[in-house]
Amino acid sequence: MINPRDLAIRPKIALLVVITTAGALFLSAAATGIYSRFALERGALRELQVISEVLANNTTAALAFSDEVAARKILDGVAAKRSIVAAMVHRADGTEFVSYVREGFEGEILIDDGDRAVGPAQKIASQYLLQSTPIEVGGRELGRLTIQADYSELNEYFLNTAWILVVIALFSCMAAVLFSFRLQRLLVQPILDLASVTQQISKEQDFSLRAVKLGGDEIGDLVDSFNHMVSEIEEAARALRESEERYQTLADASPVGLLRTDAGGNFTYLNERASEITGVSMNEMDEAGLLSVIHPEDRQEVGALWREAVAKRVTFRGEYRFSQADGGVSWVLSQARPEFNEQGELLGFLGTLTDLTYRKRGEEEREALISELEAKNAEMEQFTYTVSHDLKSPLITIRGFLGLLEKDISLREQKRIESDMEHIESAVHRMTLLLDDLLALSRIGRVMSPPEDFSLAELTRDVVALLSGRIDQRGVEVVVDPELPRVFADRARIEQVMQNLLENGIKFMGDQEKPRIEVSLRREGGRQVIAVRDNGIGIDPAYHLKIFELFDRLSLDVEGTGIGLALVKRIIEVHDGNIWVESEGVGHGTTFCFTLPLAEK
Amino acid sequence: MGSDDSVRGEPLTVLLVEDNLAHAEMVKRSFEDHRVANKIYHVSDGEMALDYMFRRGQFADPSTSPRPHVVLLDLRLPKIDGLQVLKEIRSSEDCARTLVVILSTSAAETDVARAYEYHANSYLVKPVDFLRFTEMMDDLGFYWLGWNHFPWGEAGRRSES
Repeated sequence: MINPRDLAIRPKIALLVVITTAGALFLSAAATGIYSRFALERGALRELQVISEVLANNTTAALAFSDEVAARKILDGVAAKRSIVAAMVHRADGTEFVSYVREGFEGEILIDDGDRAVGPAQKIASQYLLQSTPIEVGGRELGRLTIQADYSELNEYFLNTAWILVVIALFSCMAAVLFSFRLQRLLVQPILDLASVTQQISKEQDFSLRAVKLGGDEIGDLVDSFNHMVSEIEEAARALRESEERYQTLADASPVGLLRTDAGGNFTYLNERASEITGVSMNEMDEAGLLSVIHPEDRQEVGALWREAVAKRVTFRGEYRFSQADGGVSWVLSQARPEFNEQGELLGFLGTLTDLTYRKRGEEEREALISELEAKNAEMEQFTYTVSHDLKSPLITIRGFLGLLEKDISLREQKRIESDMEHIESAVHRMTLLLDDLLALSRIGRVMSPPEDFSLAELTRDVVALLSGRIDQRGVEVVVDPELPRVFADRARIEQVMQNLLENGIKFMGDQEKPRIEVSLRREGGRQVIAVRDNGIGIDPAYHLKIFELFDRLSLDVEGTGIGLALVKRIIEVHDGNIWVESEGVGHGTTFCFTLPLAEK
Repeated sequence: MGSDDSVRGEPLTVLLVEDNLAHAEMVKRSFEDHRVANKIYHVSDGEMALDYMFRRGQFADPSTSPRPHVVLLDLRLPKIDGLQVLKEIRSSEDCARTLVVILSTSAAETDVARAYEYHANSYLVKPVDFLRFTEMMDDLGFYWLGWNHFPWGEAGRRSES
């Protein structure tokens, strides 16, 4: 069922016109009809009455003189009136005097009754009117005249009128409708135009269109208001567009990352900078969740801070890392605000990312430098301390034995004199060695030859040849692995290293009957390690670090200034390598292990 | 020449813990002309020092390794550090009361402080001047044996021998 409110304007107006016009016309037709009916009726009645009175008058004489013929003649005069079908005069006693019946009338005669009451006409049986009029002379009633009129003609007449009225009404109605169709254009056209413009604007979002004002009426006012509104919208749209463009430019140029996520943590917007920082491009945006690009170690903390921010409705603030697909890690300072809709539900986050990577890296580097500096400082202090002590010592010896020498000379203790001088000599020698080694040590890192690509196997064999005297003397078997790699280092220094290690191996053989030193290559933990192993007296694990310290000697029995391994360590470290010792303890041999930068293939 | 209660008559037994043989020689020589009779036992590293004190290994025989009156202890020793030796002596019930005199080349305040922290009885710095060295050794012996009273009485001493 169509809701009449949903009909288009034109049919609506048409319907309106039809209904009103028809209604009006028919109402007036009906009114007219009903009125004319009554009027007709009254007229007829009146007429009847008049006729009746006239007749009654006229027949008075006849009745008074009982002149039937005259009476009849008069009565016959009624024939002129077609509607009168019967007339009758009764005497005062009620008997019939004369009567008239129209020719051809075959209907019921109702006027027989002499006792019919006088008075206004009566309608009988919807077809006849009866009028009874007294005939009187000087106040004395002589008789009565009763007329029966057929007013069915009246009905016919009325019906005709009615039909005419209806037809007129109908035609008027149609004419009115047609007319209105033309006229409604005046009213409807502007509305339709306005409606069509509105639709067009809304469909094409083209706010430059305007409706045309056709008249000065309310529609015209409406058109004006409408146009004004559209202008405002146009202006607002333009301002919005400009603002958006400005924002976009700003966002693109921003050194700070801007982002937006939905409630689930998925990105809904990233500016260029944010894209760089997170490693998520604007195309991938839909698939990537914020959590997935955060560094695994930081995820829990960040998640907790988020939840707190949402629960307390405060700005989230935190420093954390993003790990990018290519393995890169960036540190950021992130500040984001949770957004809520009117119902208080979380819509997402809107925030900034500030790249802290440089700062963090700077901090890390600074920390590393500081601890390196501190370590170097400590080393320096230790060094100075040890040096002063170890130089003072031979000095004391020299002075001491010079004094003793003096005493012994005065006492002529020959043997003692010789021994004193030996002590002095050896102390001097010791000091010299010490100073030489110190110089060598201080030079490492300062005065080094440029690194070169050379074969470690070859170098080792050269060193073995150099030490052949001592090797043979002790009867040591030396095995050099041909797989030793090519290295990229200061050749002279590495020669010193190998010499020192091999010498130590020979020195600390102890009672070993089958002394053997092996120089080999080990592959462990992804790097190549050079190992110098001997089956000599070994080193107690407690001293595994101490032996690399300056001037720490484990045993007096063996010559040496104690600077050797410290020097070796320094050389290796300057080459960015590591050196360490492996030995289960006394009697189990020793293995010195170190790494060096390898030559590129 | 000292109090009546001193252990005069018995030689001053000194355990010299010194890794530098030349210095050890110097100390021994300077004790030769002492006013106080003495016997010097010399070990050259920290480990041997403790072995001696606790009568371990080669020093198990008390007749060849008598309890020293004084331990002259150098700080820088191979194997076991001087301070460590001191600490162990001090933490052993038997030896805790042993007189330990540090004899070191180092005059560094930190070393002195640390030595006293570990409860050394005295701290001596080896002077470069030989004469002063002998003087010092002489005074050392004289003071500790001449003037100083030892923590063990006659009874304790005898049970040790």
